[in-house]
Formats: sequence, C-alpha cells, structure tokens
Amino acid sequence: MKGEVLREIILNANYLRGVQRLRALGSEIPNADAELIRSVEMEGQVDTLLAKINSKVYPNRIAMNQTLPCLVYQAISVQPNDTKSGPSTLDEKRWQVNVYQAEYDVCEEIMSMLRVNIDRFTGIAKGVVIQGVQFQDQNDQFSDSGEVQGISTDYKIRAIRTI
Amino acid sequence: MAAQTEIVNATDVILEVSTDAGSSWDPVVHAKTAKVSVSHSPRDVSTKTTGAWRRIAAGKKSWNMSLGGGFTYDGGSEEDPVSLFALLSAGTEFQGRLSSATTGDTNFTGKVLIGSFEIDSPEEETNVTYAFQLEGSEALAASTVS
Repeated sequence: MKGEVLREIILNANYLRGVQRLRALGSEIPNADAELIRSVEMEGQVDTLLAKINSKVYPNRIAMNQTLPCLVYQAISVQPNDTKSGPSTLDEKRWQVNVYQAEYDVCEEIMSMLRVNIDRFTGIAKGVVIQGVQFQDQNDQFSDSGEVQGISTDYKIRAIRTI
Repeated sequence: MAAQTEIVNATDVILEVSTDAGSSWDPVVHAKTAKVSVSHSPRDVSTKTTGAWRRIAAGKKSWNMSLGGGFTYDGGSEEDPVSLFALLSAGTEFQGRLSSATTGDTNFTGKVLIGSFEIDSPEEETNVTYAFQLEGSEALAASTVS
C-alpha cells in the first residue's frame, strides 16, 4: 500500500465513508446517487481536521518552508499474509502519523480529530480496498528548544493487495 | 526427475482435496499450514518366555491430515471452508492429498472424513482463521509425483 492511500484516508475518510454508504444504497435512490455524493464531498471539504492542517500532509519529511501545523506520515513495517497458494493478498502495514505545531494543545486536538476520522475506517481509498484501520499507539515529541511540539501516533492498516 | 535431496521448502508442500475420486484436486483457499500424522499401535506379544522386555508385533495403523489458514466464505477456484463444512454436515467421504509440486517427490493420498472444523475470530482487526482435521480411512498411499 502506497503512502498516497494513507494520505487519502487521512484527508477524506468521512467522504469515503459517505460514498460507500451511498453506493450501498444506490439501488434504493435511483438517479440521485451523483448528487448525493457531491453533497457528501462538500461536507468533506469543510471537515474541521482539514481546516486545522490546511491539507498539509507529507510523506516522511515536511516540505521546505511550510508553516505549522502539518502532518507527516511514514511506513514503519509491513506484515504480509502469505499462503500456500501464493504471495500475500492482504498486508498489515503499520504507519506512523506525526503532527507538529508550536502549541501542544493544538497537536492534541488535531490528533484527536484524526483518530475520530480514521480509526476503524473501512472502504476504498485510491482504488485500494481497506479492510480496516486501527489506532495502535501514541507518544509525544518535542524539539529541545521548545519551539515545536509534536505527537506521534501509530495505525495498523489492513489492505487488500492485488497481484 | 529424481526427488529433492535438500530440505524441502514448505511453500512447495500443500494439502489438496478431491471430491471426484481423484480426477481433479483443489488446494484449500488461504491455507497456511498442512500436516499429515501417522500413528501405529503395535500389539504386545510378550509371553512367559520373552523375558523382561516387551515384545511387539505390527498392529493397527491410523492417520489424519490437518490444515489451517485465513478464513473466507468464497474460495473462488479453490476449495473453501464453507464447502468443506458441507461435506462434514453430509458425512461425505472424499480424498485428501499432501502433495509436492516437484516431479520425483512423494504424494501421500487417502480417503478422509472431516473429524473437526474450527473457525476462530479473535480480537478485532486481526485475521479470522479456520482449521480442519481430516481423519484417514483405510490406507494412506505414498506415490511418486510424475
């Protein structure tokens, strides 16, 4: 699973959940599907988490000259599920998501929102079927100068792997 | 082709089942383990003249196969746990085979009935798993893979 899949989940978990629900209801609401999906998308765009981090979500390192707060994610480990029939079609990947900001309270607020948004998420992100997202761990980070506070969280993501 | 002489890779040894008397064989979906166990219970033929040590002779032999893996409801082109459960419910005998993909190796084949079946759904966000034990009926036959 590529990092862009996690980024999609972080930014759009509520929207993706909404699309999933609507598609499941598709047969009961003929001809209204696209409109309803657009309305859910609008709701996603005003998500408070998005507003807090202004869509600044980066892989591995913060882009140069960016203002805080922002999120940084990186892959920690991957546990494949190989079988007698072949290589893994279901990987369990552990990702770390960090937030950085001058005020610790803001970090806590953002990470709390993130957890509400993505913990136990199931759905499709960037075409990848996500069986589940699970919060695993959390700890604090800080710069020695005290100028930047951070919180680091770990999530396990079960993703179907197409081979 | 001669049989493998190095320690065999477990990836290459799988358990397959056949419900058409061996015409076609299917692996069980998402299987992670496969095992054959053979037991022999020798008869005690000690007499008053055989001394302090027990004397035995060949007795009953029995065998079973077991397998386990990640549970799913539909195995596609492979056998799935739900289909095997149907065989258990109906008491249907079928064939089991611990097989190698390498020519010259040995397959172990025999008729089986399902002796136990388990689905385990542990804590959330982990794999649901299945496990079967297949009880062997009559002889377990060893044959060269051709």
